[in-house]
Amino acid sequence: MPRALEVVAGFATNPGATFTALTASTGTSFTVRNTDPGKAVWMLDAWAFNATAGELRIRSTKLHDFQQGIRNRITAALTVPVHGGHNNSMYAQRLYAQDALTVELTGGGAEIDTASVLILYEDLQGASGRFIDNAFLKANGLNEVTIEVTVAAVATGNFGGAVAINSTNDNLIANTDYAILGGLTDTRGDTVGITGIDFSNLRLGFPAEPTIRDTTVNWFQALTFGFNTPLIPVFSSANKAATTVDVQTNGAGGTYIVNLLCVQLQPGKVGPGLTGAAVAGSAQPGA
Amino acid sequence: MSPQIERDFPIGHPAAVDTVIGSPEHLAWIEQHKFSENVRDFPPGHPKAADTAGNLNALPVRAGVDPHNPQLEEFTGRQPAQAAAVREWNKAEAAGAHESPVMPVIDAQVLNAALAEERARLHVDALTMEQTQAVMSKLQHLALQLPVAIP
Repeated sequence: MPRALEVVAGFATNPGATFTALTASTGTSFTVRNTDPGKAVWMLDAWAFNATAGELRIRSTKLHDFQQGIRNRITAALTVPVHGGHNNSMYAQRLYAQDALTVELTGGGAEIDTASVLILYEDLQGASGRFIDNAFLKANGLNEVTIEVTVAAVATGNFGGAVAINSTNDNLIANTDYAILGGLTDTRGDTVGITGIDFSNLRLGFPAEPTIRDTTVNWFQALTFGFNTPLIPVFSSANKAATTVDVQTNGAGGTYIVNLLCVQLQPGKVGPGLTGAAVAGSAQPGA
Repeated sequence: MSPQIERDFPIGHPAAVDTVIGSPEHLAWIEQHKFSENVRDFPPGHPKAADTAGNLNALPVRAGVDPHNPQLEEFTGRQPAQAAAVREWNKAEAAGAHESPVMPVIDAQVLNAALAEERARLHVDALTMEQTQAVMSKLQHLALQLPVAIP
């Protein structure tokens, strides 16, 4: 089952008090990718980075309502999830193939404000990722290792500064699978993105928020707990040069030191698809 | 060596044999122990007591900020001048930073198989970014396009 996880991000320039539709960052779109309608697509989470407090609104005619939909207050300078916290059971919003989500922000009158949405495709033909669950991780994990990179973000609201995961320290063991549990950033932004061959070049991501390091450090593991489905991505060190980390942030740009918490896995254990007890087509992912 | 005197109760304690009820010692003891009867928050003079002069009870504790040195940059602890210099440096870095390239979305199974073949051909453990891109370019026709909404 070709499962795929993708973070899509966007920005609004000088939105002020007016709900402003986000411009999707380069290479991303708020339109749901085309899938078999019988295969579920889920919005797992969303977050925003506003320098000035505002509102994040996500709506579609196919969701609850097209007036206010999923609307949340975004406090200033705090990039935290608004759809569920770590260690909680989470609820996923069903999305629909080729539906154009209207994602809007209010915020400052003289700044770029940014937001991101994390989408899970249960079955995206033409793309797939390798994901494991916690039981598999515990049974097959060997050593913990952190990957540290320095990312110089751009100030345009797009993802920027992509560097290979081995750009700072090239210490991964050759031809070995690694699970990414989550990561840390030392600087606030909107999203830390991880792109790689093993995720079909779709970007995974977590909030770039240094005050919730206990949440982001095992972000994908927490999602796996929260949704009870395999969401811990696995990459091979053979693809280290083409597995990159970048950051999307507001007009301030910035230099980010990002640490990814990884676990070396036993060789040859993770197959090409997901590994775990996922159930396709259920009422919720993992239900 | 003088013998140590172990008192039965502290000075001023009502049960101590030498306490005179109403004496200054007794009144001082009462003042010191009001907190244990929920009359006050802490003993007089306690650094956290609401009426202790100079207490820091109203000091905000914010993530990443040393409350005793709020002038330092949050999370880094840099001095203001140093922080300003780093901000300038970051601004210059951001001006020279590049937006991330948009990678073609190609099924990992297909791409990994092609990359494994290339690694075997070149007898290497890992390909460089350029070698990986060369393989990806051959599979460009399989790449998913950015989604388009149905009106």
